[in-house]
Amino acid sequence: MPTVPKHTVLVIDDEPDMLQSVRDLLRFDVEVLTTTCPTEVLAILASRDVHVVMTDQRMPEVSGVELLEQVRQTHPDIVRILFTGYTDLSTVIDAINRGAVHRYLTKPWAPTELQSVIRQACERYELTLDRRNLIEALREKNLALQRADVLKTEFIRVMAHELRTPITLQLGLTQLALRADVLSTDTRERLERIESAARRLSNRAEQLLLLLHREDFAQLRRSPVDLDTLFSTVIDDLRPFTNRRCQSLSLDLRGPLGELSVDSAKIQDALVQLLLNAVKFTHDGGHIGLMAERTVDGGLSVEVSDDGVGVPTEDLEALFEPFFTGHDTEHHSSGEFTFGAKGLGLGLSLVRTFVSLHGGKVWANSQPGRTVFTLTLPKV
Amino acid sequence: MVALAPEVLVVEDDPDMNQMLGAYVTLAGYGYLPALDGQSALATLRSHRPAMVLLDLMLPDLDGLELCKLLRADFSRRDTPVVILTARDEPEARRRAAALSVQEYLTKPFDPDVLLSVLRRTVSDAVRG
Repeated sequence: MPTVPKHTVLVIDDEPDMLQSVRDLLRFDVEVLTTTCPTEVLAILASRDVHVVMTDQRMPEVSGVELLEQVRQTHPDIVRILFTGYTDLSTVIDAINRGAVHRYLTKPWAPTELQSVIRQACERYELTLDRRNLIEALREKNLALQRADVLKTEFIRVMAHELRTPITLQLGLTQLALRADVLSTDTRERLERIESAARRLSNRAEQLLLLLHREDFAQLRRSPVDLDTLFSTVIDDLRPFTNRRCQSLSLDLRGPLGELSVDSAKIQDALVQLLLNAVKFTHDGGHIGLMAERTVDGGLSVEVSDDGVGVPTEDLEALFEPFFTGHDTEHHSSGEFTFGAKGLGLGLSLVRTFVSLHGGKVWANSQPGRTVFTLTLPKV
Repeated sequence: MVALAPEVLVVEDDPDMNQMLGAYVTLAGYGYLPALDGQSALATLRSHRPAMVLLDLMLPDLDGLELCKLLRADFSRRDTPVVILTARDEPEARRRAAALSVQEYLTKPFDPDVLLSVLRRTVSDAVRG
């Protein structure tokens, strides 16, 4: 049973005999349309799905190259083949170089040669089509991803608020109820269970939000940043806290630092977190220092130092893990929380995330009375 | 003359949350002034002299930090201590809050004991001047 050919080839030549021979030769492989009249070509292309156009170069009304140029304008996907005698070779080469023609054949041709050229032309058509479809699918996927990304950011914001508000109410009201003067043992126990469940819910919600946030944070927006300005901004931001704690804060920039291409908001956040951490674990009246210098390879090295309570050696690495809360509460300066009450749970893990995104490193050295956090950023 | 208890202005748009914060303010021994949006907070600030402001950042009519800025620009009220209590834990908001010299930046959910001690410390510092 003959199968219906998948592809259609339009052949143009002013000699009807030539068209007949091509039709005979190709009829089992493709559907062949023919015309002796080049002016009909565009009308045929408008009414039929044609995949390959093959034309003679020498025709009375228009040359093959001119015809194929027109086809390229209106139907760029159609594969264009020119056939000609040896005498026109320079015209043909020029047309191929301009991209007007994909293949050419010289007359006379062997039957197998024509069949093979047509088969390749059909394959070429399919490849072009596949590639276009793939690119289009990829573009749509990218758009969908971008939309999802925007939605996700919005989702995090909304969820943070929607989750935290009822949890706060649950915790707050339960504790208020527990403060009542007269409570039966049963009621007290139930309230305590409600409270502990609310705390668990609260922890889960915070973990979830943090995980979502981390992905959201994973994009760097680098631009050249004036480092001297960046450091003075950070110091200005911190001044209110150190003033309140009567701590001294010094900035030591080793020479004009110039510019470095970084995500300014993330690096500022990282520095502020390191400094807030120092504020929190340094006694009232203590000293906090920020030192920065360029490295020999064009990077940046920053040290945040304090004369506070210090970090036990075994905790130095765990400090940067999310939810690290291994510190002894009595090590809180003056036994009080301060600004940034969440403590080490989030701040330092964000610092490491931000610095790693820049290809940099951050680590801590500590002994009682002196803790130094070092942050390095490579040149891009 | 009877010495009146210091008052705390609670600016929070969620009525349940506002009321609960009010319960803690009362528990700490202070007068409770509620405001559910920025405009009514500003009106209360004109008619009263609260010892401190407990401020949510997301208000229906005004960003909490904008309200804080207005407060800092008002000569007769600029020293009023402000404690932020928000579900918005964003570094940018923290930085802006710090620049406006807020006393504390607490995030929801908060530890009620922490809230009570912040209330007591902030108000007693303010009253002592």
